[in-house]
Amino acid sequence: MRLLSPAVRSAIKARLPRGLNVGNPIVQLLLNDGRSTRLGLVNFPSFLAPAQGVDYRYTVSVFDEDGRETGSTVVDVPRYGATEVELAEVFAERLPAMGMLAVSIRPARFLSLRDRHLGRIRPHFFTLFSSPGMESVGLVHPQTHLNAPAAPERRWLSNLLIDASAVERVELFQVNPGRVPVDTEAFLHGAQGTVLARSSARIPARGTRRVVFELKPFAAEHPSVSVGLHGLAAANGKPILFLHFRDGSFTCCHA
Amino acid sequence: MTAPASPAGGWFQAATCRSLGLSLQIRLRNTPRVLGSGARQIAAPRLLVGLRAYLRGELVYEQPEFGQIPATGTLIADQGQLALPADLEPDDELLLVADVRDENGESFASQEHQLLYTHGASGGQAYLLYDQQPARPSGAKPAPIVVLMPKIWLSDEIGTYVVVCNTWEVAAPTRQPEPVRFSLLDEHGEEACSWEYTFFYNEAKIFDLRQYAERVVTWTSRPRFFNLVGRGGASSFVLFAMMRNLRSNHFAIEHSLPPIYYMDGAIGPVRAQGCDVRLFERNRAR
Repeated sequence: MRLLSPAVRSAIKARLPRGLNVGNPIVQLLLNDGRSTRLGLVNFPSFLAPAQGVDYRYTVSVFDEDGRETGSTVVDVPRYGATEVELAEVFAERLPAMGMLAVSIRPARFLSLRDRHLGRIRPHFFTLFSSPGMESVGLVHPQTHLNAPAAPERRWLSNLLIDASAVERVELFQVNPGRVPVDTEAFLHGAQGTVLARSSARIPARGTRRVVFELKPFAAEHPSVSVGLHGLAAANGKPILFLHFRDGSFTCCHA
Repeated sequence: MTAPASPAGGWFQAATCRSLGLSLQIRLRNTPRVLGSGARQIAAPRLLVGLRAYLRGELVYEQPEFGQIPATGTLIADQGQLALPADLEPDDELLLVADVRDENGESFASQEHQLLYTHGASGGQAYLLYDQQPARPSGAKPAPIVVLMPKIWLSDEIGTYVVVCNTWEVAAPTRQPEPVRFSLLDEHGEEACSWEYTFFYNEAKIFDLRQYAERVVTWTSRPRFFNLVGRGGASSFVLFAMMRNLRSNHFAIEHSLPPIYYMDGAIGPVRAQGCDVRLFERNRAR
């Protein structure tokens, strides 16, 4: 297949049964440390091809921070349906305090041909992180997929400028969706590019890493700061940031 | 006032969200990257920025030479620093559109910029990065949208708003030929409520989904999940979900994902089918 031109490959794929033409599982951070994690899954093919809508089946797998898979569950989503998955309810004691989740999709009938004109489908979803009473909320979409190739030499700077006068603490999470460990450095930098703080670590395969940067020591001289990485666990493996405010609340966003 | 001829380059648009008690700061960046891999590209020495604001399609602010963004630098457009109309109704929303182009006036790059919303009373902030869109050439035909937002949670304390912005090059305030039809669907795909709205070209509008749904849903403390579907219209749209704790006034914001995130087949049939509400309703009934 790899010897064929992209156009020919694309034409062949467009004729494949749906079960043979689904993308890699999509990954995201999970938190169960007092903060909760909910997913919004949707039978998106049936909205993009309503005349050929079929039932789909998602599999949600969870990994702890060391990369061990601790559980998985299957979620049926009928055509035109959508569902919430509250991870703590589904996985109970199998859910780690922090880790990575991977979401895959397949048609309920593997050989279905009905929506094959959609080409390769990718199971994107949204994640809601919240404090226990939902006083604080964060809504993000995933950045990368399982087994995405790492970019160990890449230096990446976020475009997100964080107000050090309002944000007390930046909590940065990285997941490694790959099969091998990745060495990475996360750093905090000022508007002029000065590195203010840094933290290096090796993230195990399928593992998760948390770094906290206190902004107070830098706030007087650096009204706005940002984050960066040297060594990415995936080409688009940008971190999720939780921004903690002085009143104890937080918001979160992709960086 | 009439809209100016838009230069080639990028459009970056956002609603002020003033009706939610928020103020907006746009932070425009000059840090282009390769689409797909996300690797950095060499930045242009400077990007030129024009800024426009609209109220229901009417141009109410224009600064064609608002500023420049140096290579790897930032240009801030702060709603509070702009000479925007002051005599607005509480529900009026302004659309801000930044025209971003290089010195040749032609180049479009894959470039994300930042939105920062701050709630005046609580001081809470919501941050978002999203990509500029290609500025459409004069005479281009606007296409309808198909949007899925499986990220709506509503409860007695949680509200979610859909923030809809669109921009297009038109000479005077004009309604689009087709409405956008919104359906709020429950977990079984059953319609909790639906409505349609015919947007002006160059309009920002916020829909309070809790208000729409509370005619048929009784709220509890446990958030209930919904999927919002939108189809139709004819413009260059961006949509955000804005979630709010109504008691603490803390916010979260996220942009929607266009169909290309979900699939790599041809978009034509998706637009044709996905926008056909009759097709969807007929098949759902089977």
